[in-house]
Amino acid sequence: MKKKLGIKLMSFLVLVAIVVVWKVMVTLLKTPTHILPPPEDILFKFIELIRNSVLQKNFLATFEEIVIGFSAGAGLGIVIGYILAKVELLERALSPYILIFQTAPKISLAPLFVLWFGLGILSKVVLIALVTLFPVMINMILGVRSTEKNYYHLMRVLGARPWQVMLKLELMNSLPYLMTGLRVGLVLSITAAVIGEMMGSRAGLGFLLILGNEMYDITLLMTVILVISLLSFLLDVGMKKLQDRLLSWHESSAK
Amino acid sequence: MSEEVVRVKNVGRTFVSGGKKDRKEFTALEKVSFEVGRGEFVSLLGPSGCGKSTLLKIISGLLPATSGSVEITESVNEKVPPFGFVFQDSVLLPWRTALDNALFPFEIMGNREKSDEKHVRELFALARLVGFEESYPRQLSGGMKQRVSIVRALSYNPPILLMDEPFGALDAITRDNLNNVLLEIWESTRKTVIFVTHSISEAVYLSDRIIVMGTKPGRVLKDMKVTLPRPRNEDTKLSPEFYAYVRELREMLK
Amino acid sequence: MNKRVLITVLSILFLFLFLGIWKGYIVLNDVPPFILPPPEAVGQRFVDLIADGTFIREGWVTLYTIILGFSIGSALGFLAGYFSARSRTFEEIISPYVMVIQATPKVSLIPLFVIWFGLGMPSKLLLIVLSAFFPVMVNTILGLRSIPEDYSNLMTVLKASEGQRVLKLELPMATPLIMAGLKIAMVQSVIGAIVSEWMAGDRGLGYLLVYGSSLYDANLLMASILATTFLGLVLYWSIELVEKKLLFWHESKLAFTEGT
Repeated sequence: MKKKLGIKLMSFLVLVAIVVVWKVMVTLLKTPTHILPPPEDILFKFIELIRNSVLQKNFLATFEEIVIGFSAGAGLGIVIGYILAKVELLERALSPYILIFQTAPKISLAPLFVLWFGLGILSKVVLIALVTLFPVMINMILGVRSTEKNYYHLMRVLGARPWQVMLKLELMNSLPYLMTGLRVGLVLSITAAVIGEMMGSRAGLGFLLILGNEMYDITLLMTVILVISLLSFLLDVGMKKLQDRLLSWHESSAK
Repeated sequence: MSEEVVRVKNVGRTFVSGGKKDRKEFTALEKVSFEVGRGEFVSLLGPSGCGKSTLLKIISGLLPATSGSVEITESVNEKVPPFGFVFQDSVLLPWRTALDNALFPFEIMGNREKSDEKHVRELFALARLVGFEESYPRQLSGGMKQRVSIVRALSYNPPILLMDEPFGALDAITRDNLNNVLLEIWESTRKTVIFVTHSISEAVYLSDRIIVMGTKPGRVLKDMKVTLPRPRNEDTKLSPEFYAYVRELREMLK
Repeated sequence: MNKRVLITVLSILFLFLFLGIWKGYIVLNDVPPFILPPPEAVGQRFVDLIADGTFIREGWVTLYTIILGFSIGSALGFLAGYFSARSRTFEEIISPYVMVIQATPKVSLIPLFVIWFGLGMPSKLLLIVLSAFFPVMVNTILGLRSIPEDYSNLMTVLKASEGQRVLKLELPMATPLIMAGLKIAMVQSVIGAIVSEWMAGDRGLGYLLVYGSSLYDANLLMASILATTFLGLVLYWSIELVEKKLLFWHESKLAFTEGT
């Protein structure tokens, strides 16, 4: 217990040290604000952005894209993944394309989507759904396929119907894999959202980044980057909590 | 013998592997016949590859027979199978507690009644599992998991219990313990049991009758009655009669 | 035998089906080529851009940047991971920051880098180095931590020197996870390169992408997407090839954790 507290304290001190060094450096070297602003400026900028509700508006825009895009991608990934896991012929016939799409940098499609779907939310939602789809789908295939034969035997002995086998066995059994896929997908979603917005948009955190870049506003840039970090971190932690909760029965949570 | 409830008639099973050119046939079972009476404890004993597990799967309907037939004259009702099945691995659903695993059959069959949970809790007591109802499988030892699996097979009170090398993966001490638990459960429920094993002493200790099977192809070598007195306990294993059975079977399976 | 043929035929059929729907959609709906050019036009453009050397030239710029940034980033990531793993306390102290940075999309830094370091190589390189650094660092730590204690005890019993311990036990045992880290790092590096060329480049495949989109030249845009896809695949598969050579002894059954 004591050691844990010590480590937390040390972690915090590292943060304090970084901020102090930053401040001292800026003061001593008289760095111009448009190159590196002092740390307190970031805080002031943050407060200012909240006061004039610029931050809320753009944060919500990004958040909305992620929620819609991620849900669509994950939903499709689960359904398609299940079908491919059950229809082996289809999966094997499609596997070369899945492999190519899986590894290809899908974010290069961002300019095309802006061209097709405009500067609004749709172009980002499609991009986010696409990057989420693959890790979810592939983990779903692996998860369903990992169901052991003996469990199918049990279900048959008990006279289970197909939908019972799917809901009570296959879906539950693929949950550990699925959660891994969802976590990967969520991290990729944030990247895709920021990239999509940087490529062309009227709102969102990525839009603010482009704005900051064009106005040479380092303070704005650093503030927005911090907000993006925080959003990513919180989403990842939330997903991890959900994973731990849903998988409390799983061996991986034995500790 | 009491009334016959399972009749295995001339059952044969061949497996085919390979394609058109390199087609290979393997005869796992050939003309296997025997009957099991109500309340009898029958073991299928034999070395690996004699088709005893295949035979049990055919009896349960998990595998079709290539020839011959299996007749089960016990029945509960259409929705409920007349037998419970205990697999070699416990096959517990890891996301359910021990109690929820034991109640799982009712959920599949959709016929759970209020008295069922009480019945299952009684079985937990009989299997010496009280206090572990809310544990998840990963928190249970191998022996405990297998006991939950037996409770699950008995939960809906089927007249027949089919067991496929249920203690094969356990260490010797746990195995002896579970044999005794199984005997206690059997004494108090008097189910018809068909028990697959490759352990000679286990078969002698538990059974009323042993169907001894041989390999290439899988077939019945001998149908042997075990007349050791019941109830049996650890002392039974020290008796000369027990030893005589073991020796006879060992000779036969050499 | 028969089944394999069926699968190959189906595979090819799917490709033609896809191209057919694409073409059919354009013909039926009269889609203008600046929105969606027909497949044969994209193919033609792709071949032309290879023939006139554009893709070779710009692809080389991107490839060179990625390889340089990826090598520096993963080497630094490996060293940082190796030394962090030496001290559990140090690792625990920095872990919250590593977690936050891990989850953050590195591409959001590119507008900042452009102001600090200008357009061109330094900004691009820095972003790729950062993209590759963290996955390799985290997986190196995980890999070294995954070594069962008895293996360490074995080395102690055999009175192995520190150097032997590192070379004969720690590195080989950590290789599966380090390779997994390198694969993630490569995927991230490719993304980093493309995005930084949008924002900070006047060269490279990423630049061709924005150039095509600013001209409303969907044909150039799609041909360039094909080129980046090709580049990404070649790079990823080379890492996989190395992995297969190095890990012939390893039975890999990890859940799938990479992606773009």
